[in-house]
Amino acid sequence: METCSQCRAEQEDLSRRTFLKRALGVAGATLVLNFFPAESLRRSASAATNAGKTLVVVFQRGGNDGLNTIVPYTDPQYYVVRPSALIGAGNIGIPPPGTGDGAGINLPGTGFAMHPSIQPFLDLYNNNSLSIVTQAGFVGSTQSHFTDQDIIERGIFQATDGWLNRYLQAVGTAGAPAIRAAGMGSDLADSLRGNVVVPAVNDLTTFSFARLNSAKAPLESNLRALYGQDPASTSTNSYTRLVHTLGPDMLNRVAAIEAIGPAVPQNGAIYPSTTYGRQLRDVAHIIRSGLGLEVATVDIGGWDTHDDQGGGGGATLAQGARLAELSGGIRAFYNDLGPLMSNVVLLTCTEFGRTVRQNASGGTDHGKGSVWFVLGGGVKGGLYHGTAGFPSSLVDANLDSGRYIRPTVEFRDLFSDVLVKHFGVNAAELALVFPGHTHVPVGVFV
Amino acid sequence: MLVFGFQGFDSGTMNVTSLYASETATASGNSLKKSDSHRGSRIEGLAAIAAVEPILKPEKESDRSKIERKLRSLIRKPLPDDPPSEFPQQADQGRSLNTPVAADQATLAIKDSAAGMAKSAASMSPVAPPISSGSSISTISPRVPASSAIAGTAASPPGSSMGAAGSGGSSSGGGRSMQNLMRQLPGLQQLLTAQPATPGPPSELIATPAPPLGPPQAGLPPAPLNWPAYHVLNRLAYGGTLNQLNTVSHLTAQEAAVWAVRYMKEQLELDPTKPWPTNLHSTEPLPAPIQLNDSALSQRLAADRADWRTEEGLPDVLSPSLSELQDYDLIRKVYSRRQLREKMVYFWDNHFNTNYRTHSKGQYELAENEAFRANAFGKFLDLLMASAKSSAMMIYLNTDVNRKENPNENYARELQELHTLGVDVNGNPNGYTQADIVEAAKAFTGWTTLDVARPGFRFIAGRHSPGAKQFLGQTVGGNGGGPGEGEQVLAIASRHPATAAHLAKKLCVYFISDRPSASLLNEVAAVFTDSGGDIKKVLIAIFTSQDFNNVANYRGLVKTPLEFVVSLHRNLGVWSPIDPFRNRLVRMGQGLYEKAPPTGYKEAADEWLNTDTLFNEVSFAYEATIPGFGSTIRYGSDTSGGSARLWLKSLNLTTEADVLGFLLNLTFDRQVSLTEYQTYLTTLRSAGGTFNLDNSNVETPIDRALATMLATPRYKYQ
Repeated sequence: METCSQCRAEQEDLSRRTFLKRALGVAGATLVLNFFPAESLRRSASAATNAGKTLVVVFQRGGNDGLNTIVPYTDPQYYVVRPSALIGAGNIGIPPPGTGDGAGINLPGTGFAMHPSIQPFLDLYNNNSLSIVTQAGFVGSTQSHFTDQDIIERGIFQATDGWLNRYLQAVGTAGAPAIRAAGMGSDLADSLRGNVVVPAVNDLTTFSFARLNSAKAPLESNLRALYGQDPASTSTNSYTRLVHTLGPDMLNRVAAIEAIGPAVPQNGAIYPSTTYGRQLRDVAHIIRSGLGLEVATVDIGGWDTHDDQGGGGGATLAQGARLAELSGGIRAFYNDLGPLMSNVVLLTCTEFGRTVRQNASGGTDHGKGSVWFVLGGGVKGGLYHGTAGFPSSLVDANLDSGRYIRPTVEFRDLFSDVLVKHFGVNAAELALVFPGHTHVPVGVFV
Repeated sequence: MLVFGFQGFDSGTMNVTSLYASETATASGNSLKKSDSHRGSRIEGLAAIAAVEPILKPEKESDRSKIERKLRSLIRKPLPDDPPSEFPQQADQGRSLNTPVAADQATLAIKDSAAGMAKSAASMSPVAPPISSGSSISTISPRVPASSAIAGTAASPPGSSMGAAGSGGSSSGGGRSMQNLMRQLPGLQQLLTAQPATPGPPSELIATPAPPLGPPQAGLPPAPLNWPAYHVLNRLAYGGTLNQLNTVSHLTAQEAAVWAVRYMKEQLELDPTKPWPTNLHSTEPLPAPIQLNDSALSQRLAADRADWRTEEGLPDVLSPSLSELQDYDLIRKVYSRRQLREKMVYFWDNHFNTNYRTHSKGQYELAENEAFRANAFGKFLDLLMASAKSSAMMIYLNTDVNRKENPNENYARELQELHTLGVDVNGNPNGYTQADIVEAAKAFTGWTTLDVARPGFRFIAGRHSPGAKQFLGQTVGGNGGGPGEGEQVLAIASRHPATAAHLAKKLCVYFISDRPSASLLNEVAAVFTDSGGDIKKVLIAIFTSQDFNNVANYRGLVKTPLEFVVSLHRNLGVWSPIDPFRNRLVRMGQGLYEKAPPTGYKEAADEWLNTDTLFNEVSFAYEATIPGFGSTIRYGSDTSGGSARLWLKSLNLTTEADVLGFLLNLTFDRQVSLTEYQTYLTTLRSAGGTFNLDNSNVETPIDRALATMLATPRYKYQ
C-alpha cells in the first residue's frame, strides 16, 4: 500500500533527525527532537489488522541463560559442561526428566526438557499457545548489557529510537485510544522511546490526582494553560518542547487510568507478588478496560547469573527463582485475559544468553543466543531452533567462538514475524521499523 | 549532667558557662587530655556529638533506654590500628564510617551519665554568646572561614549557611527545645571537637526578600540582568537556598558577576581574593584547599546516624539500611554548604555505580560514598582505585569471585566500557578490545573483599593468575603478581586519552549543556590529561569556560528528579522530615544507591522526561503545597506553622506584586512569561476581593499558586 505523501515526508524527516541527533556537537545538534502527540501521526486507511490487538514485550534484563531454560538433556556433552545439580553443590546442570529433584520437564519428541521452574508454561506449550525459539539473538552481539540491550530495543544499530515507537509511527490506529502504548515502570523502555510520546506508568493504583479534591480542577486548568504555551515563547532550551508536550499528555493518561479503577484479576489468576507481577496484572487490566492499549513493555531483572545460578528443585538459586516468577506472571496473565488472549501476543526478549560451560562460581558469563518465548493469539507452538537446527553436541567446535550458543534466529526476524502476522503490517511499513533489514520469516505464527 | 568522655571534666554538675570558658582558655593547645594518636582527631568529638545528639530527638520517656542503647552502640574499644580520621583524606576506602575511639574511661563515663543527660540539659542556661558572631572565633581558629562578608554590600556572604528568611533556620530545624538550645550554645559544639576550635559557619546576614515584581512583557522572557549569580546556584549547587536567592535578587548585573565568581571560588575551595589559578595544564599542585565550615551539617548527620542499626553481633559496626542511606545522603544534599562537593559526590557515586541490593550491607555503600567525598576534587586515579577496591564494587561486578581458574570479566569490562575509556555513540569501544577485557580480568584475579561485616580490600595470592598480561598495548606485571597488577591496569586505563575525553564529556553535560561544544570538550580533556587527572583543575576549566559563562546556557538544562526534589527543599527553605521526600524520589525513578545497571542514572533530559517521572514530580509539588494531598512538608518558618500565608506575612510582604516577586524569585530567578505571570496572579486572586495577607481566605489561593509554580515546566529548568 502506498504511504501517503505527508507521512513519507514525516518519515524522511524522522531519519534525518535521527541521523543528526547521532552527530555530536555538529550544527545539526541544535535541531529539536520534535515530539508530536500520538494522535497527530495517525494515518487513514492502513491495511494493518492491528485493531483490537495488543503486543506485550517482556524484557529479561541481564541475559537469561537459555541453555538451562530449554535443556538439551539428551546430549551427554551438556552434562560435561554443566554437571548435574544432583551430584554437587554449585553445579547448574538440570537433571534429565524423571531422575530426581529438580529434574527437567520433558517435551516429548524433542530431546529437550523445560527447566522445572517454568512449569507454568507446560500447559501453554501443550495447547500450542507457546512457541519457543531456542537460539534467538543477533550476529554481532557484543556481550555488553548496555550495547546489546540497546541494539535489540532499537532494532537497528544506528537508530536512536525504539522499534516499537517506530511501529507506532509507521502504523496508525483507528479511533482515539486513551492509551495506545505504555511502558510499565518508572523508566520508559528504550524500545518505546521516540517521536511518539509514550507514557511510563509505574504504579496504576497511585497514578491519580483524585486526592486533590476541590483543588484538582483549578490546578489542572493552570497546568494546561502553562504547559500549553508555545515552548519557543518560554525558553531557548530545546528540551522545553518535550516538557511542554509531556504535561498535557500526562494529565490525559492520568485521567484515563483514574477512570478504569483498580485491577481485579479474573479467572482465578494469581500473579507473583512482585513489581513484575503487578505490572503484568496492570497491563491485563488496561487491555480488558478497552483503553485501546496496543503496545506495552514490562521488565524483569535479575538474570545476570555470573554466580549462584543454581539448578531446579532444591538446587534452585537465582535463575530458577527468576524463571518461576517470569512464567508464573505470564501464566497468570494468560489466565486473567481468558478469551481476550486471542488478540494478544506476549513476547519475551533478553539481551544475550550465557556461556555454555559453567564457570567456577556456580554461574555462567555473557553469551550470545538464548531462549525467547512467543505466546498468544495466532502462535503455532512448539520448539524452533532455526534453519540450522540445534547443535547435535555442545562440544566447543559446534559453538560460536567455542563458548556460546550461536544466535541462529535473528531477533529482527522474530519481531517482524510479530508485526506482520499479529498486526498485519505490510512490507513498506515494516521497512520503516527495520530499515535495511530483509525479513526472513521465522515461522512461529500460523 | 553532660559528660563527653574527656578526662579532666568533673563528672559532677557542669554548667555551660564553665564549659565555654574552658573552651576559650584552651585556644591553642588542648587542656583536654588526649593521647597523641588522637590529636587532631575529630572522632571523639563526633562520638561525643553522637552521644549528645540523641537527646536532640523528640524526648519521650520511653526513648530514654533507646538512647542509652544507641549510645553504647556507638562506642567501641579501640583497635590497635584504628585510623584516627573519620573522613580519610586519601582513597583509604577500607574504613567504615564508624571508627570512633574513646578511652575506656569515657565509655564508662558515658554509660553512667546517659541517664543524667536529660536532666543536665535542662539545667543548662544559654549564656554563651553564639559562636557565629565571627570575630572572637577567628582568633581561635587557625583556619579563616572562607566566607566573610562581601565588603560594602548588604548581601550575605555566598556559601554562607542556609537559613530561612524567617526565624526557624533550617539548619537546626524548628520546634525542638534541645535543638534551640544547641543553636544558642554552639560553644558545646566546639568542646566536643578535639582539635583547635573550628568556628561555626559565619553569621549570615538575613537578606530582605526579593523586590516586588510586576507583569513582564509579552514574548520570550529575557534572562535577568543578574543571571550569573542565579546560574552558579543552579549549577554548582542543588539550587540556591532561600536566603541566597533573596540576596541575589538585589544584586546589580555587575555585583552579580562578582558574586558568582566568588561563589565559584569558594565552592572550589580557592581563596576568593586571589585570581583563578593558571596552572591547569600542569601537574603543579593547586593551593591548599580552603574548606567551608559544614559543622551544622555534621550535627544533622550525627543525629540521623543515631538511629541506625548495627551489624548483627557487632554493635560497633553501623550498618544502615537502604532507606537510612538515602535519607543520610539527602540530608547532605539539602544542607551541606559544600554544594559543589555534594554534586561531585553524586557524580562519582553514579559514575562508579553500585547497587545496595547486591550485598545489602549499608556499610559498604557508605564507605564507598565517603571515599568519593574525600576525593571528590582529587585525582581521578584515586577515585578509580577507591571504587575498584570497594567492597560494594567488588561484589557488584564480581571482582570478589574473580580467580585464575575462571576469570570473571564483569568488572574488567565495565571498567573500560563505563568507568574509563568508554564507548562511542554507536556503542563501539573507544580503544579497547575483548582481549583487553580478558587480560584485565586476569590482572584483577585474587582481589576480594575484606570480610562480610567490614568493608575493605584484601588480596588472595593463591587466586591470582600468574604471568604477564598485555593491557592496552602495555605489559603488566608478570613478576610475582600481587594486587599491583590490577593497580597498574587502573593506572593505564586512567591515563588513556579516551578516558580524558569520556570524563570531560560527562562533566560538561552535567554542568553546562546537553551538547557541549567541541572546543570545550577538547580543552577540558586536555586539562584532565595534562594535570594528571586533577578533578579540581578540570572543574576550574569548566566553570571558567566561555560555554559555562554564556547566557545561552543559562537555564538550559533540565533537573533530574534528585535535583528537583533537593532544589525544592533548598529554594523554599523546607524544614520538615525528609522521609516523604525520599519515597517520592524513589518513585520518580532515582532511588540513590539502588540503580541496577552499572551505567548508573543518565543525565540527559530526554532520559528523564517521561510521564511517570513527571507525574511524580507534579505530585511532589502538590504534596509540598496542598493540604490533604498527603503533604507533610512545611516551609517558611516554625512560627508560621507551615502556612504559606503566615510565612509570607512574616516577611512583611503585602501586595500581589510583593508575593509574586518573592516566590517567582525562589522558583524561576524572576524570569517568567506573561502567560505564566498572569496565571499566578489570577490564582492569587481566586478568593475574590482585595488581596490581603491578613485575610485567611487567601490561604488556598496562595497554596494553589505555589503548587502551580512548582509543577510547571519552568521549575524543571536548571
